[in-house]
Amino acid sequence: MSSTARHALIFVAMLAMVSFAWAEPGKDASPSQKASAPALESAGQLTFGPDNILFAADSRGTAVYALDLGDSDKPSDEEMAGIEDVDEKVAGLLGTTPRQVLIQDIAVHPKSKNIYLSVSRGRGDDAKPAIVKVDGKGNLSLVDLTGVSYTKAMISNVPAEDAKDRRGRPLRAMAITDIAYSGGHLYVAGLSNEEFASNLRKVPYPFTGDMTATSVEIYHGAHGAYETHSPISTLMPYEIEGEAHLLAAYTCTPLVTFPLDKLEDGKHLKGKTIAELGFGNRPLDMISFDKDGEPYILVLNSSRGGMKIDPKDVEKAEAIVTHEHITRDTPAAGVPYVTLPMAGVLRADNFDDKHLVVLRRDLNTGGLQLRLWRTEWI
Amino acid sequence: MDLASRALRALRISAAVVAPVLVASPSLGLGEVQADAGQTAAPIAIHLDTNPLTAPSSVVAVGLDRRVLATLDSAGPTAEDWQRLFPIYTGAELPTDGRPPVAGKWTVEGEVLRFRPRFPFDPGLTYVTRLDLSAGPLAPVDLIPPVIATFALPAEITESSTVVSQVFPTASELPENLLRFYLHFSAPMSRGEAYAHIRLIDDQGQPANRPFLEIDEELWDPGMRRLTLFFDPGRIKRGLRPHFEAGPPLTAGTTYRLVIDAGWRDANDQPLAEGFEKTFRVTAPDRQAPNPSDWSIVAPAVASREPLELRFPEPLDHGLLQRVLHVETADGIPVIGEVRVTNGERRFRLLPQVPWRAGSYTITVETILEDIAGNNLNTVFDVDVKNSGSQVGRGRKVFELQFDVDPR
Repeated sequence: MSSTARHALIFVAMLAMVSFAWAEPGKDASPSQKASAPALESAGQLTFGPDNILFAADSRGTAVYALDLGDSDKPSDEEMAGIEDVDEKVAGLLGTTPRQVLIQDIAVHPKSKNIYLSVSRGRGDDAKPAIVKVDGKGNLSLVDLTGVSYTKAMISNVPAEDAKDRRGRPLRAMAITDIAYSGGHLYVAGLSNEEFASNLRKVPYPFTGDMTATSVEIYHGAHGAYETHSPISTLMPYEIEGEAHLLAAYTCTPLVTFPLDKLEDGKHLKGKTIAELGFGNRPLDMISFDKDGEPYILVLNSSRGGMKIDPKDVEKAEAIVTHEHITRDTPAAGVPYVTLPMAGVLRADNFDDKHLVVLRRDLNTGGLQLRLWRTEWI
Repeated sequence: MDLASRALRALRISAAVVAPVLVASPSLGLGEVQADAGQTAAPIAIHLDTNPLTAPSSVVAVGLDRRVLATLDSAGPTAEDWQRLFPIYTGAELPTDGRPPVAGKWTVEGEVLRFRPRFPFDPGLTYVTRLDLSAGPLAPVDLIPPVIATFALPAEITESSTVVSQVFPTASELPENLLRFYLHFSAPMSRGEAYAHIRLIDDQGQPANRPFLEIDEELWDPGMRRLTLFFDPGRIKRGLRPHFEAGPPLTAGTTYRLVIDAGWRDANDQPLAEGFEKTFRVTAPDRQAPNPSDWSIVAPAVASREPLELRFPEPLDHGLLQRVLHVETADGIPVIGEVRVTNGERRFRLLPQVPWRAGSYTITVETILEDIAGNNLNTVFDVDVKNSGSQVGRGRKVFELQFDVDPR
């Protein structure tokens, strides 16, 4: 069943300024400074930014890192065919069993085309982060973060009066669900493990020591009668006619777009709902890609496969018209999309102008694969 | 187990191979290393070094010719060279599936060749290595058969002992639009499989169909002892497609069991010692924002360390209550103390570290404080915009309440 919705959803954004804690000025704030190894406590969402900087989200450390990996400017001559049982191979590299390996995200270096994986080695409270590189020959290596140039931005303060566990650690935490870079800002979407709040942070880049960043609270409505807010589970920047937009999927399933230049302090913002993914599904990842010279948006879903959307349709789309009596058999409304057979695809990134790289769970064997897919098939 | 006691445990080494003496080809410029075929020499042995002073554990190859090692070292082997010379793999046998060697660093220390893994070796996991000096920059080195050895740190014997220690809210009647549970565990748990071990079962014995928000990140506290379990917000919120398609996850008038099975593994990869069930009856939805003017304050006696007590007409969120209420003296000095949330999360008590002094106090309440249905002090979870009367103090950051500690 198709899954766009019929509700008219009116999105209103409320923006509030919050103060952020930043890396100590002068210590690790300079992008060019070679400091001690970045002390990631976890490695989650990845995305490449300007000058091939790798942004890595550290939920456990409530921080984002900008890592200068010093990778090659040129791609390998080899064309990677893909890697079967990539979790087993990562486990071998990290000296452990596949059960103790959780691959969190993938990102392709824009120049070298090496694929970077963020990994948790271990599942418990002593889990360690790792960043693994897959080169053009399909060889895996562990990125040695010692001596890597980096900057860091903290994304929340944990006050001293918080409740603590027996080891004195606070109970409060924020899971960073996605990060996206656009126009000099890193957008950080997160989910608190306590309050249920919209938690989109706008962090200027380069990270410096004395900035104030914006926390964007985005409210949305449902058929003009109800208004609410929600955390964002995945987001993606893209341009329509030269204007930067953010496409965001909420945990309560609407997909909404809003122009980035309207994300200003204290202003209400009316976003546009282009689809509602419906019950029993959650968006996993979103990317834009080119096919035959035309841009498309790809939304990966946990249980509804892939959705391919034409950005021109997003531009033209009207707010979805309300329908009070939707059932599971109600036809989809909103922006048109093509459903793609992408069950099991967990993450995707652009590889080159002809390929995407996908992290995929083979539904027959249960194996985890890293694959290159030709965009002409998508 | 600490490193010292780990080191005291017997090591399990399954191979120590006696090899002929090293023989190098003169053409490699090894100079002083002379061909000495036919003689036997000290055995080459590979074993774990669990000396806590050099912790974490490393693997050493001993019995090698010091001069050969020095020459090897001066040749400046790359990581790729070392991976051919002395790779370490997971598993009991050398891999045939393209599995990469374990990441780490190699060093030459006199007569010892040492490998330090980037991450400590897993206790109980078998590793295999193949020392082959002919595979490196010195190749070809003749008459030195590769040495294959396996090794393992002793397995840490752990038993199932972790249990679900508490689930919040504790009340046995909960509203239809309940937003979350907090599951507390007696010891750190493992990430990645939470939702497979939690079920919601109605009074007909039917498990609910995906009632919870399942996110890859799993909302644990940093110590991995508390999981925040949100109900699917799209099903609770009125006007959204999942709400129409599947209805709210809970139905008023129905009794449910929250069932946690014992197969859920803790941070030591051991299943829970026992499963857990919480039975609760569902009442009408709560669409009222909590209003601090409805709370009552029980002020403590002067010079006592009695708790300051706040009484709420409804349960409030256990997690947020720990951190969003702040008490200050009239001079703005924070009152530090222990927070206790009791009476089904309807009572907040602050037990001060030092006795109360007479005077006026201010309780500052952050408006992010929510009741158990996700209504916070500013706004209800899903505002009925036609009925703005349901909103309380919208846009405020804090509420302030006053109380006095009277002099005797």
